[in-house]
This record gives sequence, structure tokens and C-alpha cells, in this order.
Amino acid sequence: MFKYILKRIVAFVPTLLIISLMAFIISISAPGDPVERLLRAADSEGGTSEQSNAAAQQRQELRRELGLDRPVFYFTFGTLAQPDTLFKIADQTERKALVKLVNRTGNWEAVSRYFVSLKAARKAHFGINADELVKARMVAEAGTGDSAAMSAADSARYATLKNEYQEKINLSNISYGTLMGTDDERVILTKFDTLQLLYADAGYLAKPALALADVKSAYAEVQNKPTRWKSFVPTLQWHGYFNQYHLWLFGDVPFLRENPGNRTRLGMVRGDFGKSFHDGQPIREKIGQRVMWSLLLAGLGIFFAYIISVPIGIYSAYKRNGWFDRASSIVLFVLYSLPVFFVGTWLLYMFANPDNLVWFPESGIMDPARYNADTMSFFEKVKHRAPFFVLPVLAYTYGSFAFLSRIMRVGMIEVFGQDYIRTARAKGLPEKQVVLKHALRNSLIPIITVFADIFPVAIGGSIIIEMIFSYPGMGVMIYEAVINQDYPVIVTIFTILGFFTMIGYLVSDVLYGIVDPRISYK
Amino acid sequence: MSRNLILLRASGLAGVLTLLLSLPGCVPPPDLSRNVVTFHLSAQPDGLHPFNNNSGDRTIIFNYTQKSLVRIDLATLETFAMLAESMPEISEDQLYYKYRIRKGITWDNGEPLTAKDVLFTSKLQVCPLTDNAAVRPNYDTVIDDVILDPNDPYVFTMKAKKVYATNAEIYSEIYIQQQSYWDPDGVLDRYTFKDFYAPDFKAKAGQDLVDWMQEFNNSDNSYLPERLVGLGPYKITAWEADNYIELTRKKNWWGDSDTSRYNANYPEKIVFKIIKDAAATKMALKNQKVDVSVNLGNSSLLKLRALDYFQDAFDSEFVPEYAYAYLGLNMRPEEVGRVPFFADRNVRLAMSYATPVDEIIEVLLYGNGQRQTSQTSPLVPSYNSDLRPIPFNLDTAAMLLTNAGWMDTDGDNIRDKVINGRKVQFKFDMNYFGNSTLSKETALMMKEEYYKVGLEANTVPLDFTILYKKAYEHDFDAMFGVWGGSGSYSDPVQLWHTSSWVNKGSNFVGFGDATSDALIDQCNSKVLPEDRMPVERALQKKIYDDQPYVFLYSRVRPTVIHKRFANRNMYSEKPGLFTNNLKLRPEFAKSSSPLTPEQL
Repeated sequence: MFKYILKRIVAFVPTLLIISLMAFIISISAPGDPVERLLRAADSEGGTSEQSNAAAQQRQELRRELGLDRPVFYFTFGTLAQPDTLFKIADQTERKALVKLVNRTGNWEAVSRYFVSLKAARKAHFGINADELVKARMVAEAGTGDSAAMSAADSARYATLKNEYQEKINLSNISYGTLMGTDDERVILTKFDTLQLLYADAGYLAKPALALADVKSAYAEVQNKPTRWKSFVPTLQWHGYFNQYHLWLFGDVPFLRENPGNRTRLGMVRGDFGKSFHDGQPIREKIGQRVMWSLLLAGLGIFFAYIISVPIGIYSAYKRNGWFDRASSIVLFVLYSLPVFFVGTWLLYMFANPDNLVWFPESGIMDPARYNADTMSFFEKVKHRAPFFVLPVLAYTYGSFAFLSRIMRVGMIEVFGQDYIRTARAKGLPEKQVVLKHALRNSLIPIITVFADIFPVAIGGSIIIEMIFSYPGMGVMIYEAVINQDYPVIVTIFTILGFFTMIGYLVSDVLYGIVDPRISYK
Repeated sequence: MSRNLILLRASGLAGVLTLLLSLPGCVPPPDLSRNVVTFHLSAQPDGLHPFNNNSGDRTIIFNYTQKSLVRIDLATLETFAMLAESMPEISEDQLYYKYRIRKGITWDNGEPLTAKDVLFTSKLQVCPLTDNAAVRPNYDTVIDDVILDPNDPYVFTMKAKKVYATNAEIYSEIYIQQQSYWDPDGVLDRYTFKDFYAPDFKAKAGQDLVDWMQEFNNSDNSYLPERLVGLGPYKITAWEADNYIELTRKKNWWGDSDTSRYNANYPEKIVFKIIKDAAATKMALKNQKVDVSVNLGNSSLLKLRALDYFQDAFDSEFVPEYAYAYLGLNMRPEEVGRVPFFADRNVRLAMSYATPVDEIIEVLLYGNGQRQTSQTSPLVPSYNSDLRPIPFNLDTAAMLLTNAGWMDTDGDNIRDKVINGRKVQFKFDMNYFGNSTLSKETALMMKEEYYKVGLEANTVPLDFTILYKKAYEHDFDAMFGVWGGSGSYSDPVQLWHTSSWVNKGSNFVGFGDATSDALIDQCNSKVLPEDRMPVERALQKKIYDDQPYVFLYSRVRPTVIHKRFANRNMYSEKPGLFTNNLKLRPEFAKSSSPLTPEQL
């Protein structure tokens, strides 16, 4: 048995790695960008001219801090046409457009030149100031650039010209923004025409006009020198250890060394799950603050579910098709069919509502106005908290009654039909001994199978119950992590859930051997 | 034997039931004599670090634990001096802002607040090593330097980088920190603003600073109550994750003698209780377990108000907010290869004429909402009152659509138009946040009216992330959204400048031209509100004329305060009330926590 358990534990390692990898891939494939989300949450507003630069710097800095400036995994499956540096392009739209373009043409060198020329074209707008340009023009035409000193006609012309200049500068800038985010040939060619027309009578846009020529020639190369065959040759691009998954798994601090600071990571294998993208708190602490409450709720729920369901199942099997069996089936299946959000809210309205009964508190796990951890004894604390658990535990438990009691009933009925039960009765053993010793032990296997799933459920908590009763468990944390695209939290939790699922199955297997002597692991 | 089995099980069940039934006695009635305010929060803040967290709930709590040099007055919406003696003296070129700190302000250890603390705080706010990348540009684009007065430890001058609208109010959201608490060795003193702004600062920063910053940025400084220190009248004494945060009144606080609503500290404790579920919040209010809530739904409050016992116990108001709902219309759809339904102003105007806003307010908001005419709330002084709400008029809408070339040429009741040689039917997507019942019902009401003028709106429920991803990528026809707001000046760049469309900022719809950009630049170049106001109004007019949004309604904040407290004033500006100013009424104060005669 010991050898068997050891073997299973050794097998945990690769399974866990695969689970973590799957969770990691799924989480990073989710739409949206955590960096954008963090920036929006801050609702930052900068000055006009600083906006673009500051925003770009912010994004870059946040990406680096979150480790998102690295490739996702050790390697990427791509094509010969795709470079191994695409991950460096932070803007998802631009990256997507580039990928499509390179997939279509197969010529990364040309596509890359085109992209660089677009960036240069946008840069060519820096320093073009409509006000200064118009002032200079008015000095030449009207002798002064000061609108206050101009005649009414000149002043009006000054305003019109400034608007016209600014409008063209904006349009030009916007058009390059569009070009950077599209691979649609129709849009690209239309934009080239629009820009050409725009620059025709706007000498002050000479720099962007010059840049347009480069852009057009770069795009012509994209069109005229396709190497489409490269898009059909699969490649494996190796990124090495500098990747997001490696950072998450092994950290960026060499083994056998302590974590030197706040910005470095030890990695999951050394118990450092990283930090939440959402609030910067270490995930280990986040989980630590909540997991005990989830375990307590699940523990109480499972305890009540089993001590109520198992006897019901046994008695229903014993009195098969009797009134108790039929009545309990109806009642339990009605309960089973009720959704938990309905029952949870109903319990709240029924037992925590001054319009009905105020038997239990409506939310939380304590009354902060009365609870005092320093002065209360252990029993006072238990007495204070106990009422807070009643409604969540009821909501957690009721659905299991039908399920567990039916499993128990079926198991018992099957066993009651066995020869050895008949033999036991024929030997004249007392009925209690026949039922509780001979029959019960052998009908526990299906219940043990169900028991295996309890571990991850207990750790994972229950989102709906925790939301309804404001219960500070893992369920709400998982829900909020998903909503906030908090990848590190999501990946950690799924890995932990995977680990506990494996533990659950191991415990089940061991229990099979204990309850049924016919099962051996030798 | 089977009878024994039944008895055994029955006794077990009876035991469990007895246990359960004995528990109701454990729920005591609310103690209304306690001088403790329980404030309902629907989520816990993302942390309470003085610089590195940004949630709105953090700001609510900081109202009681931290202080800034200046702040906005919730009633008048003007900025006034808080820790400073007065608003800053502004130099003629509007680049130097001289502050004088009030004397007598002390930290928890008795040390006086001096200009050195402000210098320390300002440096932290702009230092590239502080983990506040999301908000740092708000400050490092404004503060160029902080110059101490060598002759007076209470005087300093903030040198601004340029003339900018928020120069005089830049210290309204910077919570001043104690240098001797955080940095007793003076590590930050070794660095200047110039050092921080150097392009290669990160590479050149000394190990002393890097180490100190790592400690300062540690998330323990966001959560551990003993680390969350500040100049406010309350200190954080407990934080149970996702459960509650407890604030306790400080003893011998420097502002104890000040009874103004900003510095009053009547409650002994303020408990922020986190209740996420709407039904549980209602029950908590019915059971009087919560004293204050600003997070209720409209319908919840209406239902509660129908109860006599609730009315007896609580004061409640639907307080108008600055936040407003809108339907954004993509003005530059061709840039992303979409059909240009709303590129023409006539069409956008027609959408506004065809939207039954008054009916939406009446039916869906139970009359608790106000019409919004432009991006600015009617509640703020800079609102342009010349702008009138666009009336619901399907005939005008139809005419405008016809003028724009959209006509029903094939008799299928859907208007069409030939665009780039292709006949296009006016069938557009209307994206909304799928979890919002209000958005869904609003969309359906609008869809019905649009159909009457020959437009087919396809309502598309989307996940929040996808909705905004599409918005930032400009990949939509029309989308529902809500913008929050404040009574203080908000830089229009993010929402309305063309650069914000190019850079994928929040100008989703692609509004803007040279005129609006110039107006925005002008707004931002005026330091004094009175100089800025005419330009702000002109910008509102410009946005109203262009109708990039169908402006729907400004929302109301259902606010509830228990009547056992006096000073139940409610405001539009967040957080909507002063919890510190709630004074337990003498008739409620019994034995447990009597108020002192001074407090009464």
C-alpha cells in the first residue's frame, strides 16, 4: 500500500505541471489585457501632449512589472514567415494585424519594414504645431502673428487657418493609427489615397508626407515580394527560460537563494505563487485569508450532508418502496431541483428578515460591532459566530441530500440482494448487525467515489453561496479574479484545485482498499 | 431492531434540529446606542497603500484616515485649504505655487507636520520606483520641483512644469505622509526631482533607494492595519478580508477641537462592512445592522421606503450623481472597416430625436434620473445651461435620416443607402454590458423606437471585458456606456481629444476635430476655474452640436443614513456624506457609549 501511495505521489508532479500549464494557457488566452484594465481602473488623465508618451511608458512599465513583456512559454509553434519576437509588440491590435499580414504575405522582412515605416510616420508628427505654423504664415502675410494686433479679417483668417491646419494634422495622425491596426488591403490603400490628397496642399505636413512615401514603398514591397510558401512551413520557435510560464513556475531568483526583494519571484515550486494583478497582494496571503473559511463551510456542509443523507439512504433501502422511501424520494428530489441562488435568497428572506423571522444574521461571519477577538474566550467566539454559519451551511447542504441518499440507497439495495447477506440472516445474526456491519461497509464504495470530489470543492468554495451571504471564502475570490483577469490568481487556484482533486482520488483509492478487502494494491 | 434504528436516527435528527433552533436566540437585536457607524461597502478596496492602490473605496476610507493639503468642498465644489493655511499663492507666470502649512498639525507620535513631509510625499508620488505607474503621470507631468523655504519649516513652493489646469489643485489627492515614520534614514533626501525625471534614472538609482522602495511598495503596507497610518482623525484597527474594515477614533488627535464637517470625529468607530449581495444588503438595512449605505439599487430603496419601520429608522434620498449613461455612436467607423452609419451628424442627431429618454427615466429608473444634455453634469458650476435636452420626436428623426440619404427604397421598413456603390441597409449593432438588466431594458426600449423610423438595432449583450475591448479598438457601431464623474475639473483629453482616439484612449467614438482639440487645450491651460469656465461651456456646446453620444440620463445615488445620527447631510460629490460628522443623537445614547458633553 505504501509503495502504491508513493508511486501515485510521484505521478502527481507531471500531472500538476500539465494542469498548471493548461490553466496558464487558458488564462492568457482570455480576451482583454490586464495592463489596459489596470490603467483604466486608475482612470488616469494626463496632459494633452504628454498623453501619448506617458500612456505608452505606463503600459511598458506595467508590462515589465507584471512579467508580460516576455514570451508566454518556452516555445511557440509558428511558421517560417513569423519571427520569434512578435511577443514584444505590446499592443494586441497591432500584433494581430501584423500576424495576419505576415501570414498573408509570408514576407516578415517586408512587413517589419512596413511597420517600422508606419511608426516613423507617426513620429514625424511630433513637433508639428498648428498654432506656430499659422503664426509664421500670418507674419509673412499680414505682418504679425499676434491675433490681437491683426485686423478683424486677418484675425478671422488666422482662426480659420489654425482650424484647418490642426484638422489636417489630426487626420494625418489618426490615419497612421488606423494603418497600424489593420491588415485589410482595401482600408490600407484607401488610407494611402486619403493621405496623398491631404498632403497635396499642406506643405507644413512635409515630414509626414515624406514618411508616407516610405510607407507606400514598404507596403509595395509587402505586396510585390510575397513568399507565401513560408507561411506553410511550420516551425518551433525556442524562447528559452525568459518566458512568463517559467517565471511563474520557477521565479527569477536562482535556487537555494532567498528572495532578495519585492519585485523578484521565487516561483510556484518554491511556494511563491506571485502577486495578484488586481491588488498586488501575494497570492499565498490572499488564499490564506480565505481558505480556512471555505474549508469550514465545506466541512460543516459535508458533515451535515453525510450524517443526514447516509441514514436516510440506508433506511430507504431497508424499507424499499415503503412510505418513507417514497416520501423521502419526493422531498429530496424537490430539494435537489431547487437552484442554490433561489434557496439562498429564500433562506435570507425567510430567516433573516424582520418581515418574517430574524433567527439568523443576514451576512458575514461575525458582527464587527460586538465581536472582540482580544476579550472573547474560544467558546464565546464559537457562540458568536455559530449563527452566521447556519444559513450558508443549509444552502450548501440541501442539494446533497437527494444525491447522497440515493447513492447510499442503491448501494444498499444491491448489497441486500447478495448471498452473504442472506447467509448472515440465515445464521441468525441480529438485523442491526446484518445492516450496519455486513451490508453498510460493502455499500460504501459509491459514497467513497463521491467523497473524492469533496477536496477540490471544499477548497474552491461556492461562488453563489458566498456572494449571497457575503461569506469571505475562496469562491468569491475566484469569481473576482476571473472578472478582473487576474491571471496569477486564476492559474494558482486551478493548480491547487487540480492538486486536491488528485489527493481526493488517492484518498478514495486508499479507502476502497480499507472498506473492501477484495481490493488490493499489491 | 429496525425500530431501534429509527429511534437512533430520529434522535440524531432531533439533536441537529434542537441545535439549529437554539441558535436564533444568539442573534441579538441591534444596539442603537452604540456610537459606531456601520458603513456598507459592496466590495473591499484593492488595498489602502497611500500611493499604490486606486479603487474608489480606498478614497472613501482615506477621507477618515488621511489628509491632503487642499481638498474639494462637497457642498460648494470649490477647492479649499485643509492642511494648508490657505490656497497657494500663485506666481504671475502661474508656474510657482507657494503653500503655508497650518501650524499645530501633528503626527500620531506628536511630531509636527512640516514642509519636509510634503517634499517627501511629493517625491514618492513621482518617483519611478513607486508602484503607482497607473496614476503617476497625473503628477509627474505637473510637479517639476518642491522648494523648501530655508527660513520657515512650514512653507514650501511647488514649481509646475507648465501652466496646466490642475496645478493649483494637484495636492488635493496626494495624502501627506510622515517622513520620519517611513524614511527615518532620509534615503529619499539623497535624490532630487531632477534625478527622478532623468531618462536613465532606473538604471542609475542607488541600491539604498531600490531596497527602500521595495520595502515601501510591499503589499503589507496596503493591508496591515498597523502600517496604514495617516493624519486623519481615525486609524485602522482591524481588517478582516472580504468581511469588514474597522476604524477607531484617535486619542488626542490634532484636530479634536475642530468641529467643521471635515475634521469632526463624532463616532467612536466607523466599521466598513462588506456585503456584496443586494438582498443581503436590504436585510442588513431592515435589521438595522447597517447605518449608512450609498450602494443600493434604485428599486431596492423604493421597496424599502414602502416599509413604515424602515422610514421610521432611516433617512433616505436619491441624490443626483455626476455619472451619466450614454449610447456612443462610432463617428469614424471606416477607420476600422465598419459601415459608416453614424459618421453623418444628421444621423446622430436623428438617433437622439428617436430615443425616448424621458420614458426610460420614468419607466426604468422609476423617475429617479435626470436628463443629460452633454458631458457635463447640470450640478457643476461650469454646466452650460443654454443647452436644451433634445426632445423625443420621431418625425424630426425621420426627416434627418432622409436628409442624410437614408431612405427605405425597397419597402421593407428598413432604410438603406448606397455607400461606395453598395446598397447598405441601416442594420446596426448596439453593444451593451450583458450583466446589466438596466442596459438591456434600455436597449430594448430604444430598439423599438428606432424601428419606427426605419432603423434596425441588433442588441448585442457582451461581457464587460469584450465590450470595452471592442470599444478601445473602435470595433462597434453603437455601444452603451456609463462615465463616472466628479464635481472638480476633469481633464477632457482622455474622453474627447482626437489623440485619445488615435492612442486608444477612452475617446471610443472618434469624436473631435481641430476646434474641439483647441478648446480642450485651452481648458487645460487655464489654472483659475473662472478663466476656464467659458471655454468648458464652449466645449460642451461643441459636443452637444456634434452629438457623438445619445446622452441619456445622469444617475442618482440611493443614499441611506440611520436617524439615530444627527448631521445627515448628503452630497452629489463622492463619497456623498461625512461619516465622521454623524453625531449620535442624545436620545439614542444610553449606557454603553455615552457621548461627552462637548460632543453633544
